[in-house]
Amino acid sequence: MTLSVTMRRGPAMAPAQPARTGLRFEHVTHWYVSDRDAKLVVEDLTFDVPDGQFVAVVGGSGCGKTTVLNMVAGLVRPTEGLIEVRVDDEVLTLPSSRLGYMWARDSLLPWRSLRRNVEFGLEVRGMPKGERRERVERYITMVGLAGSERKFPRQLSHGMRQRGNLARLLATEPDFYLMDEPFSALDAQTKAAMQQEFSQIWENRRRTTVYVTHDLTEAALLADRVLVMGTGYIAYDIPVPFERPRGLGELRFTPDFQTFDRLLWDRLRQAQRGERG
Amino acid sequence: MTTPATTAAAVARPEAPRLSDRDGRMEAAKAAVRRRKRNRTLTVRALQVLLVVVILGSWEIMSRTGVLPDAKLFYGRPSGVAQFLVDNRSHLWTDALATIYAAFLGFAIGASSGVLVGLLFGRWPLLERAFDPVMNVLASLPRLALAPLFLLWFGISDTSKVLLAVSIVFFVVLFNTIAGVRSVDSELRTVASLLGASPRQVFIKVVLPGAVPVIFAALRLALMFSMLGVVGSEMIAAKSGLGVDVVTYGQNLEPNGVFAVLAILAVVAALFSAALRTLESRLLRWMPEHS
Repeated sequence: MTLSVTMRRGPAMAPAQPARTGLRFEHVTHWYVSDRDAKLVVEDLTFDVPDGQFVAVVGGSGCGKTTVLNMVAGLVRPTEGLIEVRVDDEVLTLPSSRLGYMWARDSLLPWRSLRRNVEFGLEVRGMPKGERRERVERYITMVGLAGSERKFPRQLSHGMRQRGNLARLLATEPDFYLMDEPFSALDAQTKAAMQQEFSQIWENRRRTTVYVTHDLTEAALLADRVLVMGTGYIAYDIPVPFERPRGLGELRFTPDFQTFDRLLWDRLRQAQRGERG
Repeated sequence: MTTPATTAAAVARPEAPRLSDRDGRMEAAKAAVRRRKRNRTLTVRALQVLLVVVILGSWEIMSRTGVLPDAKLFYGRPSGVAQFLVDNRSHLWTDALATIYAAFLGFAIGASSGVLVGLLFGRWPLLERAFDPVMNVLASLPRLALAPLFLLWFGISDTSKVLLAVSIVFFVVLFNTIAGVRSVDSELRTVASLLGASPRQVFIKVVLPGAVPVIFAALRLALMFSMLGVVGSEMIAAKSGLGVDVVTYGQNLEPNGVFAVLAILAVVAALFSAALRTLESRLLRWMPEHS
């Protein structure tokens, strides 16, 4: 299931001239309001993600990192402040189908075969059947699931279902990737393989990405930049110093990487003590 | 005293299987598992048949030996039931058809309207909340008590029977359809709408198929309830039907006749249910228990 063969860049694979994208948070605050109570989830977030940057958001449970992602997706509306998601000069109305979202839990429709799941986004957009079949085939092959097109989700392993989710995200060719711990529920080996494959896919496309994870090593391996969150705020904004393309299998054992990984751990501890940089 | 030859024979082990024989060994393993499964199924079937034979046999014996007092008037016996079925076959056949026809109609009307209204409520929850009190009151009425009203309005007719069945089936299916719509994982809806599906597409492509398993469970119940409604209505007043027969035979002290009708009802219910199961296993291929 390696992608080295399928990742050839041919005319069919080359994405259309990619749009210039970016997103911006300006003094964003969100109160979670329940029947009896209101809780401040994130407070006064301000940051910018330029075109084609891969940002990882890390932090402990309940720090608000998923809320950040859900606000970008338009699933949660900020109580105060401004969120701007741009494609070229257009500011998107959220939620928008130009954003691709992927969860930790697999969310394939259980009554649809893998192929029909991957083509869902294209089907609801009204893409003609022939065209979407062809495209879906390509992405299913890209994530290493060729041959399983007709299987139902329950017939696939957890790792394969996450590959299916990834193919579904890629198939709509969104301008942004929003990912919430997409590989966190996988066993160590599958996880490492999928990180490597996703990293290659990403490097071929370089779509603006917000990637939430509690796994600091994963953040360091995949991202260009890591936002370390304390409770409800960004404590540290750390650029990742490794060049692309990255071979994750090698990179993770280099001394430089281990030093950086350690730095992230220190920053996370500091953030949880309430310090900020 | 053992000779070297016998020692060798005693420790002789089966030859280590050759690699080339893998296919043969796999086939043998598969055959062994299949054989075990088949034997088990046969055992279960034999036990099931045995149980029925024991029940009917002891009934027959107790009836003939007088353990059951005045069995002819009160308890009947299997051989008598069989005889009754043969003797009255044309009459029972006509009445069975009348009952089946009404039950099927009641099921079809009640279930389709129940699903339809349930889906409307699922699509527009405000509507459901508005209707909630009315529906709850109607649903908690013992519906058999409506029979006199239907008889008053529609006379002793098929309409009265069918309506009573509908009044029961509708609510069973309605509430289960609403529950089915609610049971659909909200994450799946969110995913679908993030992928660009309109609210209508989310409903048709996600909510509807997601609710099907629960709706089907309700349909199986609804079939039984439809029979209950029709037979109940016939027992109160009808021109023909198994419900009429069962009352008549009871009043005439013909237990064999009553049991004959019950046997027919059981067979009809089993056939209905089998038909529904066939349909269900086609639609729900994606669920583990239907593969």
